[in-house]
Amino acid sequence: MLSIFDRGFENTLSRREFLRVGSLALGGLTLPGLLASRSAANPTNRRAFKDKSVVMLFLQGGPPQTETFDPKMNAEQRVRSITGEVQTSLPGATFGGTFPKLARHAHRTAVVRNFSVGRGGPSHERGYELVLAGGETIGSTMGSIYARAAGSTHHQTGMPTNAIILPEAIDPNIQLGGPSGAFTLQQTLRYLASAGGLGTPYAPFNPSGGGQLLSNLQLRLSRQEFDDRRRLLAQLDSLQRSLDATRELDGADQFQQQAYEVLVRGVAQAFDLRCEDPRVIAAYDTSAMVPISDIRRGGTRYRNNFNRSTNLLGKQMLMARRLCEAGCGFVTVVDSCWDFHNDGNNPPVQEGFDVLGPQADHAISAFLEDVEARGLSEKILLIVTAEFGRTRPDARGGTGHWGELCPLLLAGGGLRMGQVIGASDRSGLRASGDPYTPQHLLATVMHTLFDIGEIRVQPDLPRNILATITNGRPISELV
Amino acid sequence: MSCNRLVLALSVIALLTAPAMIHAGAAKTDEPLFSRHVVPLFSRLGCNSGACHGTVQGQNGFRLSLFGVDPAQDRDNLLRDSGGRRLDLNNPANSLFLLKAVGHVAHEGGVRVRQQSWEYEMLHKWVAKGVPLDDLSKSRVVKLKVTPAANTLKPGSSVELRIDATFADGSTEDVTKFCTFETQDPDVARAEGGAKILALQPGLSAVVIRYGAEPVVAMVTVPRPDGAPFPVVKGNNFIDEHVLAQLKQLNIPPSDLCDDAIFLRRASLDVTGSLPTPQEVRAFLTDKNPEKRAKKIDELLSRPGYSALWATKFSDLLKASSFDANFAMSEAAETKRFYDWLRARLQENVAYDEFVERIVTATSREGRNQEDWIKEVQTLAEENARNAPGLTLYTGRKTLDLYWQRKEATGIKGTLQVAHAFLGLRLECAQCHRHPHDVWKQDDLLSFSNFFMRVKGAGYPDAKNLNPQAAERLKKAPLEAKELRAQAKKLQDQMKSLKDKNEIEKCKAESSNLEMKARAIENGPKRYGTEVQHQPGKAGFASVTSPLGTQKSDKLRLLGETKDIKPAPDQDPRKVVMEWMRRPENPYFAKAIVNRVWAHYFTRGIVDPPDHLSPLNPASHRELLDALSKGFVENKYDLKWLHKTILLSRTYQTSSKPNEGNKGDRRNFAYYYLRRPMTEVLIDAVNQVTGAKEKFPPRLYLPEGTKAIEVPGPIRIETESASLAFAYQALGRPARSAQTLCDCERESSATMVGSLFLANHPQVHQKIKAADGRLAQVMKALSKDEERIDELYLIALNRFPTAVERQTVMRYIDGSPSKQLGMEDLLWSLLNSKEFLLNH
Repeated sequence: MLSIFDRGFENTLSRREFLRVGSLALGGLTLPGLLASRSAANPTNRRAFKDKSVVMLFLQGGPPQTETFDPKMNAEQRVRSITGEVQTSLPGATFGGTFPKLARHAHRTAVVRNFSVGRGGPSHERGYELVLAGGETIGSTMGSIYARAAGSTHHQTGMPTNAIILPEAIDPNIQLGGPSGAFTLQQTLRYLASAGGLGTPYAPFNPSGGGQLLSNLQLRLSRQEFDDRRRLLAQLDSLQRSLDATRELDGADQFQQQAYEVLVRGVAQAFDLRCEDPRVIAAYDTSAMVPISDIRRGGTRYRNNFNRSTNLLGKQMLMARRLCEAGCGFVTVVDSCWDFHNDGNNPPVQEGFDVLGPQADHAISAFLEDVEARGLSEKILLIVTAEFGRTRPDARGGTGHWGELCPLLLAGGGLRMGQVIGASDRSGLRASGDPYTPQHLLATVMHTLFDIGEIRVQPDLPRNILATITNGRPISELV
Repeated sequence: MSCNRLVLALSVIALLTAPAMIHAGAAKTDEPLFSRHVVPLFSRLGCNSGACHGTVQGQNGFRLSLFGVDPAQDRDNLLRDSGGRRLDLNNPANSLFLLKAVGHVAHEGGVRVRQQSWEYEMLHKWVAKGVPLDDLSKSRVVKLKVTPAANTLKPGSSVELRIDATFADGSTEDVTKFCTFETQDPDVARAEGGAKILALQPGLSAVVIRYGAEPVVAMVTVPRPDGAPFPVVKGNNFIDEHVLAQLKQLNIPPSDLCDDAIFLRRASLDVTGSLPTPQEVRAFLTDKNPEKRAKKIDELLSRPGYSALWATKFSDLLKASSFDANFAMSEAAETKRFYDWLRARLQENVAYDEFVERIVTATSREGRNQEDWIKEVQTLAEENARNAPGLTLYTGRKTLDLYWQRKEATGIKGTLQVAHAFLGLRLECAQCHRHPHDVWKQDDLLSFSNFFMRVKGAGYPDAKNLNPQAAERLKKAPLEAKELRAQAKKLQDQMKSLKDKNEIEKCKAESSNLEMKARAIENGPKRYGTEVQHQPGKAGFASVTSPLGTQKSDKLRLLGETKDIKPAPDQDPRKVVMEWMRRPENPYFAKAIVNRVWAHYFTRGIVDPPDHLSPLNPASHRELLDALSKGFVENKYDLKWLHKTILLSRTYQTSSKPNEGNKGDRRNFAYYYLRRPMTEVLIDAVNQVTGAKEKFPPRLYLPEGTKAIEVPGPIRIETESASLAFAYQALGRPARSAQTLCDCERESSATMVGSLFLANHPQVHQKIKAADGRLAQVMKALSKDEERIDELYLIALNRFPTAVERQTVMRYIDGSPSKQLGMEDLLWSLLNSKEFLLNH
């Protein structure tokens, strides 16, 4: 199982002897994960990876384009932002009225106002596929594609390279959502945490088993004792090697190997916000902004679909930053219930923004400030988007799904910031001129994470994955 | 997908220009007919696929029916969409759809045909003739024939298939070049663009061929080249005859028989979900009776684990969840009743057709008058209100009305579930359109759904459907409950001023008793609305509204039948369905369960995935499935006969070690395929090996020590049984969502979280070293290290260690700080070893 045992680790060694060899091995050889060794561990190919991370804040439900980053207050009445607008630090550009804090950072962001994800009003599920998988590519989310190329754990830290942070990752005891409705936990995981055809090793790591999983990530034994045990295990397993003569179980082996690396490398700390400076936590924290009781009241009123909204987004963003620092290359943060139909199951636009808007404003701003203060702005690309935008509100302030425009804001990652890219047309429903699409977003992400020239010569990467990574055209204003 | 299609389309073009393909020109492309030639060509080129213009919204303003099921509509769209720009009758070459297809105008789908190709010529000709629509009634395909239908090929060689279509007007035509070809197992054979099928490596693969929307299947057999003569292998029963015959045909030798220790472990896990005990292993290994395996199979099938395991599997299959339709029911209580009912029937070994009948045609009253049923309901409510073990009444019911009391159990959604659970069919796609991977049309689903439109599921109680006393109770219940709660509150207030401990206790007991009564009084009448019944004369008909419009059927027709059925208004149409299902010649009913049971024992079904019985998903061993199903029906749907027949076969008892000749095999059962046991079984095995017991909160109605395989419903993570809940989460357990109609909902693939759990969860460490645990017992009972090692191997791996293993472990223990710590390390290593984690 461990590569070192494959090279003549005799089963007659005494414990003391095998400790000596073992510690040498652990110190010098850093037992590469099998996944990593197959693709990314080869140092000559490390150049293909730019040592950058992407944090995608996914506003699940699909907030309107107008009330987020394209208020259109000069358009006719029914097109304008219901929440008004705020002037931003970018001359001439405004954001929706609930984003005053973010507006002050607008010069550190790039807003794309002609981002179009699909025709008409797709379902949420279709929207997830379109945006997260970069439109019609290979049907796997961008994070999974990254993990497939980079290895599912970081070659040095053991950190999963692709992770998803749901509110449950912050508060393990929280019970969100019911058994049905548009945003059940099950649906969310199924679509937002999907690896498509790439297979489960590349699906995002989901730390929301709460305290249980976190405590599970912390090694319960002394390092010495654990190393002894896994050496014994490797020996006993190798004696039964014929059990897997067909190598059908390689995948399972990889997981076991990955798990052990996570344990011995102390990755768990990244998931533990208690290890963070309390002042930093306070700066991110959004839980005081909206009392959870208000949110739950909303959840009761709109019982089916509004019940996965929380006030935990700030801490989710903080955890995203911590994971990036520990070597995670793609973090998906999910903030749910931006689905403003006003149909009894979902709130109208104004009410939805009253609850969700200020929190997102604060959380995104805190993230940008913190990342800037740590000198990571160039290293981390933040993307704020959703599965689609909305139709114009009806008389009661309800809106429908609308794929032809979708909110999109980017920040950092070494891309060109301080600009508004593209425009919507007068109707506020379509791009003016040719739109940018999820393919462009995917290409932008891949260009941020990979050196495209180098990744082309990466061995052992299936052609279709390689094509997906390298073929697209990034949003030209950004690169 | 779209990528593959493009490659396919391009290589087809390349081939078609090669001289070898000229014979295909035999078809009459000089007189192209829209429905016979143009539309199937659209299909082959991928134009009307779901990814392109076949999608519901069309693509860039141009829509075609999916796979061309509606030629008239397609022609209409070509004529009318985009103001008729797609066609130019005066200058056909200037037609937008042709310009796009050859890439002269930007086409998102890329270049589909070249200008110098017969395809282009044909399309051009059709436009030049004025885009005629042929007589669709004459062009209906009545037969699609593939020659050769059965092919034996050497690796590296290939075969050209030919497809002939016979139409309703009696004419027959070679339609090969209009067809798409896809192999079921691309490792064995590949469609080399068009009709040429290339054999790659030994094995068996179907080739699924489509002409327009019509499918036909050919088989390709690729025997392993020469090698040693096929060994003489003696089978145990007719299963082996089929499996061995196929292996012989493929020249793939089966592996040896597994040894006794492995057989015992394998069968115990598979049949009862538990490991054999060390005593049992010892006894079995020393038993000299040549019939000992058969004897053991009988014994295992009679153990309680058998019914527990299959009650779990049926709870998955029947989606035993979502009992919250009217707030009268409790998820924990109802899932347990559901499970217990299933388990009792499995224990009694009720014939499978009767088992299903008692589910599919269940009613709440079962012929009793309303007041008698209401008495039952009151008792159920009291059981719930007590919040403690003892949900005993329900198991004695004849029928499982809980099946119909789940949310979305009736109507079209319920029909999809019945079809999936009992017929192994996937009909979801037919809700909106013709099923893309199957033969079902929308009308088939709707007409079948109409059998389930008159059944009433759980809802809110309605006073006007109740007898006067019941209606009165319904009205009064909230008031009475309120009164009781007020009394309880009063007692609690009094309690504050009490000093004497006994009196406080008494007061407490009394007040909680009052609260329990309040819950029962309130809950009982709420359940009056849950009555499952046939509503005579109710004429609801199934209809679906999708982006493709609204479809309705007012006929009742069984799946695959042509005749409509008109049940009398007072006859429950579900009974008609049941009678049809249990007819011996029913093509799905017996096969579905036989195949699922097979898949349980062999990792994959004879038809695989096991819940997709379809002519487009051919079985790996069709005759075996037929024979096993026939035997099952002839043996009066006796489930234990089925299990026993499978378990007795040599095929089941084959070693998991592949040999040189069969190691590439994935579908012929040449060796026993490794797999991880069900999550519940794995958790129970860990507990069995460490001697641990799970504890549960009272509201789950589960006594301490209940096995994971006996836990009927969901467990929330915050409860006292957190470790079990987390284990379920880490290792994966199906949510039993009625939305996910797929056996694959129960996934048993490995995950990192699962590995972390077994390697490092505090509870696992605790279980290993617990003072009252198994290891502690072994340490106390046995004094010699060798004996202890033997015992731990017997407990965890159900075999004795080999000499090398014993020696390795001895050295390890000798080097450990203490014997205790060394043995803990050993037990941990055994629990995390492949041999333990897998059924092999």
